[in-house]
Amino acid sequence: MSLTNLFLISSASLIFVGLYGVLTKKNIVRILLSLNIIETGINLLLVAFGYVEGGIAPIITSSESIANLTKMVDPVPQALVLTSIVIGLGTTAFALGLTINYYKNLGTVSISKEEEEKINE
Amino acid sequence: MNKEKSLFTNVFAVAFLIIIGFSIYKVAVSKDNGINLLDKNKVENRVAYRYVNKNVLDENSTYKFGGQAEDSAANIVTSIVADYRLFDTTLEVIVLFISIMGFSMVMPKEKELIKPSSSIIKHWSPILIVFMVMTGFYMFINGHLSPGGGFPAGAILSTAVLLGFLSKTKVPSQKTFKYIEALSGILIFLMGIIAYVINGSFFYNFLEGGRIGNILSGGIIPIFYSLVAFKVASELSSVFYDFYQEGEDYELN
Amino acid sequence: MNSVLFLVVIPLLGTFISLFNKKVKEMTFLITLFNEIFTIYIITCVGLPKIAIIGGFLPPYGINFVLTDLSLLFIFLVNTAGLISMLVINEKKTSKFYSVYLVLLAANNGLVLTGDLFNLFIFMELSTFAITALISYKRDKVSSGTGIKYLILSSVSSSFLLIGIGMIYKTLGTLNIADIAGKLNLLSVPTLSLIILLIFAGILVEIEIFPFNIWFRRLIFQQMPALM
Repeated sequence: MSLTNLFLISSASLIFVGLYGVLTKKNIVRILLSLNIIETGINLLLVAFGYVEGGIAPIITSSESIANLTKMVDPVPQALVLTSIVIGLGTTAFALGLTINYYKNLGTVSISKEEEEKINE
Repeated sequence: MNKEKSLFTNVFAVAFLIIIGFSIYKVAVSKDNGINLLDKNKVENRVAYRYVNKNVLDENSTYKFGGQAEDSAANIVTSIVADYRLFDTTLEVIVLFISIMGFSMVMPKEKELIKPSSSIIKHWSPILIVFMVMTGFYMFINGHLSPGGGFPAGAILSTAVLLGFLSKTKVPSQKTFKYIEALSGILIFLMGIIAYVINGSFFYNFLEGGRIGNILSGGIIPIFYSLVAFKVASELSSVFYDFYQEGEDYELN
Repeated sequence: MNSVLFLVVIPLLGTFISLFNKKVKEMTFLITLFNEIFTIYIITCVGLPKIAIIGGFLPPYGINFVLTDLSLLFIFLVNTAGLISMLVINEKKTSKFYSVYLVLLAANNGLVLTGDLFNLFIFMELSTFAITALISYKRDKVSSGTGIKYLILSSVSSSFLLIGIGMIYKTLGTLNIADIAGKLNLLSVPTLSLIILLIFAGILVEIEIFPFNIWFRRLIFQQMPALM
């Protein structure tokens, strides 16, 4: 199978593993870990969408790179991934701060039906 | 009862994901008329073709290595992030600012004291801090010539501050970091407004005349990346002060 | 018409300045008033639709803001809601509340005005973070529980939106909304339906149209002044 298909299958499997984690786990820290796995899979998928077979990196180092301009890999998804990595960092940091606050208020780190009773008191 | 319920949830989630994956597979390998999902990439039909050839403003221009172009950064990804789509990167910086500000609003007020560090950290941290700061500065100064840029450089500089903080070297206080962060943010937006006053459109690259491959090329790209690096480094460093407070813990030894 | 961007830039500049001085509430009120007056001035200009370009590069190679009659109605709604809520809220405990409120105002304005798909995604993420900070700054039981649940749900659904944007770029090659509308009939039918499903699933959960917002009714009406 070609290299593009290998990238697509591996990133799709990362996204599905992360989705399973977000759907079924009850501990908040495990849900955040699965969210991070989803973000990693999406970044890999975005970079794989711009791959050209036998391409080179889009950096001009000498006059020979200008002769090879048509073989360069697409640079626009790489710019999108730069932004997406920073957004993932912000999400993880903020969510962990909220988890610390949640633990100090309720004494446990899991979300389930008993916590709903405690909150509604 | 809880175990049966969690088993039911797990099986239901796996079945749901299998159905979704199967349908995505059927869509991906279908070959109807029109553009399909798994066609081969042709860069000529995409927006990136004009970015790579650097002829967005004038369709027939070409460039040589060491010559001038409409955007004279040698790293094409940097010229997209910091020249053609500069507004997205500015908003990115604001996203990070809001998440760290929300983090400091949410953290509880009781903090612990720092425990004294081991002798390895005490003896090696000055040398390591010098190397880390040098690497961070190299990364954002050469952001337009090789991979890197403002965001990784800010992360590396804040790791240097963390090492100094843990080994009780003198680091700036939290107020200094907040001043640097706010000042960098104001300067980034002032740069955009100055470009509006000069030329009529926000965030325009108003410093011209660089040559591809030099270190003083790319217009406002090195200035922008240095402001971003300082802002990110000071944001991530002020997070540490929310965890620990000043002073030492003399009970453990 | 390039000065439409002042609707977004001035509140963001105000956020950074408000970290320095003490009289935050008056400054926030002044900036919201300025946004409202600027909106009324834009409405009385004639000649629609208009495009405001950013950075000097014409679309589709650069980012642009678009003004049509529908977007005029929406920016008027957003700024008026912001002004009314500034008159109602009376918050004395923290001054950081107003800084986050200004960012929320800028994010909602940009969300309505933008003409670029990735810009839409970034404004949506900015709005998510601002709303979560406004929900959970009080640090008591109900706020922290609702805050963490809102953040997780919003992040998962915005990742679906990002997958849809990536697929659009791979097949059509451009990220400008007007350009995509012109090229949309080149796609094959299964690909088009998959992309539409992903993007709608992302956007509808984020802005909470009726069948999806059953969970959020508990705490929202206390602190959601400018939610659109």
